[in-house]
Amino acid sequence: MEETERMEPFLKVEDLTVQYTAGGEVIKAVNKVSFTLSKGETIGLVGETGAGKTTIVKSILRILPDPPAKIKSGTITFKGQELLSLSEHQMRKIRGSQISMIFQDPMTALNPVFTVGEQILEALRLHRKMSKKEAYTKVCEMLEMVGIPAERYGEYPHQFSGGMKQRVVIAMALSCNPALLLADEPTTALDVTIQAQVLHMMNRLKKELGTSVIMITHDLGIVAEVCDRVAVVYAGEIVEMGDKVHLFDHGLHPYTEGLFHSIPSLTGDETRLKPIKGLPPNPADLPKGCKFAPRCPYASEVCREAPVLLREAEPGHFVRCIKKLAADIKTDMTGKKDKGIDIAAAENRPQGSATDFIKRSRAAREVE
Amino acid sequence: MIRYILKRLFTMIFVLLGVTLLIFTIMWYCPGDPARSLLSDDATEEQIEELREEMGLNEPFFVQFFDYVVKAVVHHDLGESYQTKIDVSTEIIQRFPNTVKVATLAVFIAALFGIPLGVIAAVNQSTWKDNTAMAVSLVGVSMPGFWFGLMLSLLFALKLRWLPASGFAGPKYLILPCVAIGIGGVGMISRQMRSSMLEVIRQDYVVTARAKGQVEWKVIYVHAFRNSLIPVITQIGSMFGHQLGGAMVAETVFSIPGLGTYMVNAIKARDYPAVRGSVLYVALVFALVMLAVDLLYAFIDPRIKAQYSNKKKRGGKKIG
Repeated sequence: MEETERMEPFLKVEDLTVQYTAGGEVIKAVNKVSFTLSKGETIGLVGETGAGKTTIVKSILRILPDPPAKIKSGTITFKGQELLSLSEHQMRKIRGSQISMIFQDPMTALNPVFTVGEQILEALRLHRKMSKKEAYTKVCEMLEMVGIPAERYGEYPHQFSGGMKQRVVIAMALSCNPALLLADEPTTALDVTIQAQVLHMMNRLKKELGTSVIMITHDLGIVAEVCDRVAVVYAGEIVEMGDKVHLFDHGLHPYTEGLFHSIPSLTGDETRLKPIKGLPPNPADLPKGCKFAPRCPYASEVCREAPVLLREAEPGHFVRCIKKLAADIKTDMTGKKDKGIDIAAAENRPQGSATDFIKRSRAAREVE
Repeated sequence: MIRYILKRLFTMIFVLLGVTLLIFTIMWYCPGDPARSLLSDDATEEQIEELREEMGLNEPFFVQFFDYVVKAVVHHDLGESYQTKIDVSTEIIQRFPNTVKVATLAVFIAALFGIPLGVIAAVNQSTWKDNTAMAVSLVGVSMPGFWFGLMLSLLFALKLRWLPASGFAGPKYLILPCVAIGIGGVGMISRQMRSSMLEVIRQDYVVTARAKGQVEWKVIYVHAFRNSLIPVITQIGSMFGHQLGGAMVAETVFSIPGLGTYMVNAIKARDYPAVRGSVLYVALVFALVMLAVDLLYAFIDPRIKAQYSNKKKRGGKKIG
């Protein structure tokens, strides 16, 4: 048994392709996404709004609205089981019990007409053979664990603040001790102080329960604090993936580079941020070649011609860029100063470890 | 909560006073003379004048109005019908059970078919199920009740002889009129239910329920349903209120001795006490039904309940 576990990764997503059909248009939301996750590990999915991050995790749980969403191809193997070929009945047994999800907006994720206690209880009663009394005790324990007094079991979501609601959502997601937790921007809707509390709590729970986590965020600071590995998602593709520290220090893809540049530095005399010029491509009409080419300062004809594959640049560090892999950036950079990212600034990019980054981004968030 | 109910009951007094004043004014300016219509055609002007005096019709407007209100409030007396010489309240009370039966059953039929039809349509949006359900409801909404009543009566009473065509002598007599009234309600309720449900099933908490591993029918009927009920309850409530006020058309088609026919006959004969009495009754019933609907909201949605309760208590509970 152990041997098979070692051979089979805990979660393996392979060539996942998801499309939405809207008004006769096919929107390619996720395009051949592959990644693995081992037990107890946290991977961060980073990218702009609309990059397809939420679609990826919702496909794992198979809760995408069908129609309009359709999983076109790919496999998702979780603990050796192929999730996409399971029956709806078998899948329901996994949802909430083995894999659970924390939703982005705590304000709308809870049902307004049921008490918070009932909503946590529901998951427990569905998956654990517990008497009502046992389940009640467990719910109270869960509430206390996320820092909500158990007496508030019988209160309704409208009686809670945003941060507390998110903690209820977290308690709900963790009530059955899931092996995999999908956290979709769990802190985006919260203010900074509550963000810190929630992240701290998630880190603690991860350690205590040994849960694997897929964390969606567009906040690189959160990635630095919580994740082990990072996958950068752009236009429904993973453009770069690797160990957190490695990726933060030696980000290879021009998009990753651009992301780091859109965070203010506290050390330099910066008066303006350097945004990535242009907009993400229309997912209904994606470029033929590299999806980032229209915005990329390094792009050439080769990039635009054919799709670029995700290749291993260094052990465990994957990147989807011909230029960076060919290590001919230096030659390419000449004469492209006016295009997108400021090359000089790219060269002077503040280097340092992920912990430095945490400090920077925390400070930046406090400034906000 | 109790304070809220008392407040509502208190405001209802003013509503009823307003309604009385309004109906008094309308009847005052209405052409036609009850004294003249009571007497035969060959009655002399003196006889008519005498009767008017006797009926108190020659008194000034406000004297008549206050006289009526005082009698109604102090003696619970709504006056005698000019035509039948029977106490108006007695007649209303006699007819009330018939109207209640018809209204309740009709609304029940409308809700029983309308709600599931709407839910099915919403859950299967843009499929043949949705299209069929909406076509059925469109027919229901657009078909005139009296015509449908006549058709039903032709088929089931005259052709098949399964059900009685008219009268009111037992449960069997209820079926045709209630179906005739209910079908329009099915259309309205199902459309409302569909749109309300469509909005709710896109909510995040519905996805949350699915993500917990809940079975689909429970996701719909437990999580989404209760949240989508408010507009539907409002509609059912107002339909019930209207029906309690008497279903004139159905009562006429099926000759049911209900309040609708009573009111129509009273208006035709310029039977002032009967008109006032029944309008007042309709207003009262409608106000009470609406109060019940508002209270029902509180049971469905705890946020509304919190609004009804003491505001101080509500503010104190929220902790950041």
